[in-house]
Amino acid sequence: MNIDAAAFVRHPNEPAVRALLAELAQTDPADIGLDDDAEEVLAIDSLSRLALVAAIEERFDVRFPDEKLSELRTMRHVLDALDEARLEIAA
Amino acid sequence: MRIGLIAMSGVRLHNHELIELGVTLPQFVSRGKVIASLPSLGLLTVAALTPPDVEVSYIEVDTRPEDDALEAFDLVGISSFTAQIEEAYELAGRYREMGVPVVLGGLHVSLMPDEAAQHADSIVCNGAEGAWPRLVEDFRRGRLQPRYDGRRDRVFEEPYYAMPRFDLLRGRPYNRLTVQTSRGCPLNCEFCAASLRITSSFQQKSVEKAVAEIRAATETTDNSFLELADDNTFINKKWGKQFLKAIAPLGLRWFTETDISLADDEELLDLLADSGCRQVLIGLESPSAGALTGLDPHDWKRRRVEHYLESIERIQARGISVNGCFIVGLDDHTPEIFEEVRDFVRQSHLLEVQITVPTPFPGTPLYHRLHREGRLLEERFWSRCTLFDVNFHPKNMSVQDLEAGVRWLFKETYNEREFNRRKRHYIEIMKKNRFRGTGSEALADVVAPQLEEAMQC
Repeated sequence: MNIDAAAFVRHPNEPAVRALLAELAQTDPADIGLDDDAEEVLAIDSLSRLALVAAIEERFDVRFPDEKLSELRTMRHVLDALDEARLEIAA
Repeated sequence: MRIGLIAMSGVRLHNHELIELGVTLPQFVSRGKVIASLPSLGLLTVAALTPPDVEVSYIEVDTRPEDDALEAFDLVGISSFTAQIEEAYELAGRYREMGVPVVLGGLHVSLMPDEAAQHADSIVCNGAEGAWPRLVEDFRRGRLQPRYDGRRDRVFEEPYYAMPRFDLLRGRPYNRLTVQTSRGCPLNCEFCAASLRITSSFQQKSVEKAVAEIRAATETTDNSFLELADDNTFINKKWGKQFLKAIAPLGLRWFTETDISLADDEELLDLLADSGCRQVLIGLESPSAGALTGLDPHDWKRRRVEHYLESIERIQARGISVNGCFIVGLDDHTPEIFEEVRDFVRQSHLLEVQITVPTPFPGTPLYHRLHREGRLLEERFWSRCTLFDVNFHPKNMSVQDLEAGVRWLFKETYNEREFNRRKRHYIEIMKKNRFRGTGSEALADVVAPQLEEAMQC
């Protein structure tokens, strides 16, 4: 596990995001990799990816900019986007 | 004996400017990838109708295979849509040069039998039911006939019905599977080149048969997204409700095609949302009534157009996304149609959009009318029957105007900004519905801690 991946695993939002991905992918949360593509690897179809965004926005009380919607394809993308969204709220 | 069943697959497009747009615009690419990855239900049915002592191989051909990739079967059956038929004929010729007899079938063959017969040892018209078993038996006895006509009725009844050989798909990386619950559609739109052209009337499987097929299909894969290969699933609303109740416990995520009257039945919509249906494709064709006049024999779509917006909203409000299909370049359309469609898409918040041009598939009423009117650009244009390539003279604009208008509309509709705007609308619906209709209602439970936190504040 590289340093970046380890940092993400300790990320406070990681368990919740992992749980949401696992629910959509119908898989064990432990089987989801940080950079697994939601569609290509986890077989989460495009509509379920929208459900993922909706769920994350609800869970963390954020709203991602519309231009980000297509970019949220991996757990890493989501965690990065959450950090950005939280920084904007705090600012 | 070994029979090879070959499906000509892949999305075809010849308009170079649209091809270039396609690789950069997100939504067109995503739909194209999906269509290209569906297995051939027709050939899986042919396989099921083959006697059990015959070894059957199911093969999909997307690009021209090399000579050494052509297996020496005892008999080859090739099925193709119109856009790939010239490639199918070429492949048939190569097998026949190898000494392998070829049978051609599929919609195009059924509608152009004399043409297809020139390229095969035998053809099968209509479906395989009632035809393929006879063909195989005749072949075994050395008396293959030049033509076999499958049944146009009772195709889902004994003794003609056979469950498709979904087991032949095991281990293949499809992102969705397909099951057919019905053939035909009573609307009979003049451009339609689907199963209604090979059936005598609308026919639908019993709910039990449909569910059994869904179970069999989804057992072959870990990914249970299903696309029903119907022209219009919910013609019979009573059947539809029974079907939806039966599949709700299966935990499916699925897609189908139907007409806008789906929105009229609140109970049907509720059942649809709870069944895991993620999207319905609906032929809206045009946002203006004039162009819909005469499109179907009873002007059914014209009489519905003024309710399009509220109907789309009613369906999507349940969390079921709508893929609205438009045809631009119909006889009543002027160059203003492109902005009208763009504006309608924005106003309706359709999550997905399909934009095509009138395509005179051979054998359709549209083809015969345009041929009579002397408006076809060429006599034979099958490889251009892609839904996106223009093959006729439009009434109120030039071919170039139509092509340019389509390019413009593609850019206006399929760009990232517009797609994200439609996605955002759908995301807000999902939140409002607590994820009902998404096929992932359990997300509401996973999201619940946020609600608890909010309540504690």
